[in-house]
Amino acid sequence: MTNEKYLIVSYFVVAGISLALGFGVYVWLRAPFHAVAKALPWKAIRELLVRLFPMGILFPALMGFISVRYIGCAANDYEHVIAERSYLVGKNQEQISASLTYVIWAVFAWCVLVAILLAVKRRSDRHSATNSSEEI
Amino acid sequence: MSPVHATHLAILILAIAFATLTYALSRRGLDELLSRTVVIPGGVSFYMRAFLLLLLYGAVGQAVAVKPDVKPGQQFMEYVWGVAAALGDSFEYIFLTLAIYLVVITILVATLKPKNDK
Repeated sequence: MTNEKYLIVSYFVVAGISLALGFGVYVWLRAPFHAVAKALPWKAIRELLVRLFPMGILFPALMGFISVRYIGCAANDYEHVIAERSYLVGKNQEQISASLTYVIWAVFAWCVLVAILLAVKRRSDRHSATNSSEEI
Repeated sequence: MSPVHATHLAILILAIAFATLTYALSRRGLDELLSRTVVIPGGVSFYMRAFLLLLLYGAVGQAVAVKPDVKPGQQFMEYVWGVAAALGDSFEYIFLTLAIYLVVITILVATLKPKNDK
């Protein structure tokens, strides 16, 4: 296989791997996330979160993949990019690594968001409990 | 399998093993703490699963990107040094992930307050 063919094939294969990594995380966290969202008393937020969750994991995986540039200091044009196989393999490794790193930050962001929602829900529960005891 | 590939594989396996060990050691305590703090069904499971993912993805992400400085025909100990140097990056990332996750959990616990603190 020539380096040019390798570049084309590996680019799309790694794009697929990056999406699969993101999809794996989505599938792994989907059930508990839906359970948390279901417990929230606000219907609009609940639906919004459930719809945004897959995008909030898959986009970062793809963004990590896209963030790696082939043309740079080490290779400033297309001819230099395809000159060495090791350069192409290194870029593929960088793409997978960047994809995983972006997914990690996305999961952190969702963890923080869930923590905020749980805190707001607790506060809202306390408020309604206080109001109902005052009414009695 | 060339020695360079073997080195890469060793780095990957050790990074995954270390991430799994970290999870196994902290799982019980974390699960107990979260069960007392997050009363919503699915909340504990969400945070536990996220923790495992963060550790594994962090370790694998660094192990994949690393380029071990080894060449065919080197001495055994030179490969060991190559693996150790590359693992350093993975460990650093696991530590960073752990630190940020602990900050998130601390904020969660401080905000929600566990049910009983006995």
